[in-house]
Amino acid sequence: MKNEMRLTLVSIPSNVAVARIAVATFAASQGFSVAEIEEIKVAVSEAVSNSVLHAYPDGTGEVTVRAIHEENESGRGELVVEVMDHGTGIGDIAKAKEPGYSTIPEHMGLGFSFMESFMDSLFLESQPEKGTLVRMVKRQCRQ
Amino acid sequence: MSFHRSPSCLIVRMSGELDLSSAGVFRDKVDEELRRTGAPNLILNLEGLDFVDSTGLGAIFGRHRQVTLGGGKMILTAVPPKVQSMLEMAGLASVLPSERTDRDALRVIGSALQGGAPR
Repeated sequence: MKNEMRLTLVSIPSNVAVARIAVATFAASQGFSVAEIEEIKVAVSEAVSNSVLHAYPDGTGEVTVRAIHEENESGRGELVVEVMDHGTGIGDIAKAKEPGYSTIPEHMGLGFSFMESFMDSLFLESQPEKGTLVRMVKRQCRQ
Repeated sequence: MSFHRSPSCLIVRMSGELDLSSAGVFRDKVDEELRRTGAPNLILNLEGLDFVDSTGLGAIFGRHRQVTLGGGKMILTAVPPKVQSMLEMAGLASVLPSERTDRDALRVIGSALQGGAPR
């Protein structure tokens, strides 16, 4: 059965934890393992941190986190996580995804690398002044 | 996060989560404590660290740069397995020295001090 969670947050740092705990709780309720949930938490943290840090340079705005759990064609459970903002967008997606690239001091520039490593797929769409959508999929090992 | 002092070394025991909301506080508090105590070396005990993401790793790496720029040494201790695997993914495992316990780290720092002492 398809299940879905949607959460809209103000883009402030303390809401990064709110987003990852909410998605982790949702994933746990859908039977994801502790190890899988740890990986999902990192990926959500990275995506929401990006929106908080970069989307609204002049203040705050909304970040929407959506988690959908459903079975794929082969009957395997999968979690789709979408993190969306309506901010400035990413000018150069290829550059933003480059490991080690960051515009902020003391930041590793590894957010997208971690999302790619910890999830099974990553899709990124961004339009200048319209916003950014990150869609990540985690397939469930245990049924 | 709690601070402990041994000769020439500040020991910071981490707890909870290190992410965008806590990285700034972590950075400011550790830097302030390093300044206040004048300790050249830093031990970061990660045993109680429940969660870290790339922002948190950046703050840890930033302290390493800070300490090594001042001629000191930073050593991580009691690194939980999941944090260790993230350090490896970030390419930091080979850059940031780590020891099993604070005592081991103190021994490493102590022998470095002895080796570097003027004769």
